[in-house]
Amino acid sequence: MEQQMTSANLPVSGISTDRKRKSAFQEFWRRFRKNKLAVAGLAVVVLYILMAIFADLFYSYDFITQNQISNAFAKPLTRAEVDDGNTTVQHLYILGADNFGRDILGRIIHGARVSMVIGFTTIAFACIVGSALGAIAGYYGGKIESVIMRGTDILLAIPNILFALAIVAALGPSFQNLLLAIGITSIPAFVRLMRASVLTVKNQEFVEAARALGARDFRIIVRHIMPNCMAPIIVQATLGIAQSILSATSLSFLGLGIQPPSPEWGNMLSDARSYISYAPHTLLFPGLAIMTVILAYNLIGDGLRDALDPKLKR
Amino acid sequence: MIRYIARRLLMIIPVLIGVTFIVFSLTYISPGDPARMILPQDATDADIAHMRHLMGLDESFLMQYVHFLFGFKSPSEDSSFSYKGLLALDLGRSYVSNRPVFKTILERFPNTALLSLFALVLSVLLSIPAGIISATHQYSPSDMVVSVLSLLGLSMPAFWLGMILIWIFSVKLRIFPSLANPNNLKSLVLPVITLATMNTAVQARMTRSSMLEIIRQDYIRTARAKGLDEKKVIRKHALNNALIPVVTVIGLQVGQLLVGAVLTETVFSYPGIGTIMVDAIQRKDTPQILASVVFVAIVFALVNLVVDIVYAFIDPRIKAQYEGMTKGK
Amino acid sequence: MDELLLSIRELTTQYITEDSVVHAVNGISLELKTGGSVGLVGESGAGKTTTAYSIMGLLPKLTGKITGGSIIFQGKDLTKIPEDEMRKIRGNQISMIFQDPMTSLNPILTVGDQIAEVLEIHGTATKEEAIAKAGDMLEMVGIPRERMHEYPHQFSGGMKQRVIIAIALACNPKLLIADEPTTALDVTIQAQVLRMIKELKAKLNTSLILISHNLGVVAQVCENVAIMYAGRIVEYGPLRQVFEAPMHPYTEGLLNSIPRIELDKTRLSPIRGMMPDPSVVPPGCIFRPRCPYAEQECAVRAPRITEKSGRNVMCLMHEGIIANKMRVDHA
Repeated sequence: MEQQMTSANLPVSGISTDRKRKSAFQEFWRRFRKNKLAVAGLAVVVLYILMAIFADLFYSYDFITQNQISNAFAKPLTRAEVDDGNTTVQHLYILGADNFGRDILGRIIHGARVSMVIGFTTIAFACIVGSALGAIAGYYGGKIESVIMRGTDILLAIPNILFALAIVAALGPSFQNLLLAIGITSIPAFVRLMRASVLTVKNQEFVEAARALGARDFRIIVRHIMPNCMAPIIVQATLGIAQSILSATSLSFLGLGIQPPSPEWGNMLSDARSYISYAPHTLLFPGLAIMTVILAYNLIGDGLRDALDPKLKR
Repeated sequence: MIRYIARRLLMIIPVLIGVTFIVFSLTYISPGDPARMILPQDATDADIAHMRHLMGLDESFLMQYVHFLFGFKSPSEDSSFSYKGLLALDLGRSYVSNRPVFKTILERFPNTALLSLFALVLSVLLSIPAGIISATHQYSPSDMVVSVLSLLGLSMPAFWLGMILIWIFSVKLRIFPSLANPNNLKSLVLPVITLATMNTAVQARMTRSSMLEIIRQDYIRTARAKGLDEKKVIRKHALNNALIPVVTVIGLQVGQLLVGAVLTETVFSYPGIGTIMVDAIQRKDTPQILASVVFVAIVFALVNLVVDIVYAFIDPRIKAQYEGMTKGK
Repeated sequence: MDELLLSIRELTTQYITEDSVVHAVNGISLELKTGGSVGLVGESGAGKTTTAYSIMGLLPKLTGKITGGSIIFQGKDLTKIPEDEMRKIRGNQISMIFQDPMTSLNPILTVGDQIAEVLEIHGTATKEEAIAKAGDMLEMVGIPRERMHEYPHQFSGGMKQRVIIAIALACNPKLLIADEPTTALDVTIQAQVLRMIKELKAKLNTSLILISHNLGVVAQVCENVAIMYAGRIVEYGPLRQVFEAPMHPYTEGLLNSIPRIELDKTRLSPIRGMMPDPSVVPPGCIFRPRCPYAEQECAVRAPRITEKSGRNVMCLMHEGIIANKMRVDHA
């Protein structure tokens, strides 16, 4: 990620030395760091990623998917006996328990894993496919371009979650189909951005120079054009992750995404819906988890945009 | 102008064909076999094959798409297997209720439209003034408040916000009902707020950034150099220019409203097109789901058509571009 | 005729940002008589435009600040009067033409509306009169009045600049500030626009401050010229005298770096180096690092303005502190 940001700031002239690379990144980092909110967002995201990676150290997957009916709707900070297969042990429900007596904090932590995986894989997929299509459309123009761009227009004509919903409805709800649906609906934004960036970079002199030196198209696109288009793509990717997580939780909420008992923030809220008056804590915490992580990505996205936007350079 | 509208209308056709094609392809690749779903569990393979023939499912992919658009006449005596096609707003019947799918959609759509319209009006009334104040008082406390609130609005899942509002206003305070229906205006307050929040946030941010960009333009400096007072500079020179991109965003936001409506309607059990979709999904009623998706996509395309036409009225450059084009030809 | 219209005294303007203070204009003084004209010449970043914005009261609100000196216009100090009063002067008694005509007109208002607006603001005409007068103004700048209902994008760059000139002159201002009015235009159009500014100035008896990085442009229009460097006026005097016998090494450098047919020189001599960073002010003479005549004394002692044969110059060579090594002697 850092490597990418560095190249985004570099005027690619072919003589990018290490020193220059470092100072461009430092310049970017200096500006990014000034934005306190963006740094806070980054900290939150890092926290969630760590939570996702080390989820099993906090709570075992078996434990948070197993029903403990006797502890259903335990209030936050309740201490209760739980059955861990063979014996009963004392357990502190920090954020309380859900309708099946499962630990809410544990489910949120394991849910972070699901959400992070969805966010990263769908956007990585959309970013690679979308950028490649956008670069091809922008670089070659003509028929290829109109085919790609018309296709994009059509995808954009269907509101994104709705399209994802149609895909999942047709293919059946499963983790893979959810990834596919959100991945596909995230593509158009990258196609448009990449094409627009390529069009502005394409006719600049260093690209002409590379062409005059006999570089092949593929090489020109990958080495000279793409790095110059990275800034808007990185911003879009960050905001895209937020959008993707939001879409996934929405679909799960509707029962089209991750299926219970697998822990996912959206399906936790779907369960909580029936008990709003009875156990509001089952509603509150998963929602806060979604909100903080989306907010964090949005803050980072804003910060990146400001730090990478050459118009604001002084 | 009329020719511009006509041209724009023509441009929408390939988009609609594409959308219907995608949605149809999804039905086609969908693993469930509709013939098997209709027949009882113990049906023989021959029964199923016969049923597939009656339903037109044994024909080629393209032929089936043509049926999807222009209708299908079943060889069966039972007229419920025939339909007149998308162009006649007839895509057959629901697997569950056995009612024509579009009948249900057309009955419920006005409810969704009402909810979305209220939300749209509320979001425009809130977001545009907020965005303008925020931009013209950059870095002031009011800018901070608008920025923070719009970031929060942007990050809040609508379905969660709706449930929180129910918890506060229906459960705790008992001011508004938790179930909404179109005949009770009071019951619409919470769903409208829920639905409007995301749009308000997006539009306020858009208005702010658009306005910030416009007030740095050279022609704003020209207006100030004329001795115009700051309020008039904003109202007469900055606002109209800044609103041009905002109008586009509002158009695109209508799509978000329709999506948000699916979630909001679910939370408030509101009888709109969103609840049709969710019910259909839960019952695996594929014709109903796909008809709803196609319907919403078409509404969305038409709304954007209207936005583009409005656009041409407020921006003389677009009109001129088009006039220049026809003059050239 | 010979009365003083504008008198700038020790004007200092700074841009204050979070991490730095940019010293854009550092104590410049300048006088302009009614009907007179002065050219401000210098490289980009020399503080020419900042000077203009200071006079117009159009400095960026959050950062730009006049920190010292005065701008006396018709007896009023423009740095002291409230914004309301300044607004009545702006566009009415002092007008400005900007560098880039392509972006200086509002794209969604007709040019007629944009000219009429300035007349309405200053109450010189009713709406109908203003529209009629806008037509007159268009004709004055050589555009058929029927075109007043067209939008800016229907005009070429040169035509747009004429529209902007029409806006600037609509209220018959006492002072016109033209900031690089021809830089963004084609060479052939440049000459037309300059000639028009010159003619209208004479016709309306307007005083003119012409800002340009191009000595040639100033030479066509102005009586006097002020050479700016790093926020200071390093040399000021009648245009012909300054051109024929520059007193400041920087002026000499500028003159040597423009091609001149009559001088049969095959090589131009550019000024070496770059202007200093305006957020860091070194001691001594600011031009020293680039000056071919600099001596040790120049690094520690800042030159003051010296008046010599009716001209002003800011250089130790003319204070008699170091020897004058320039080719032309002014004694």
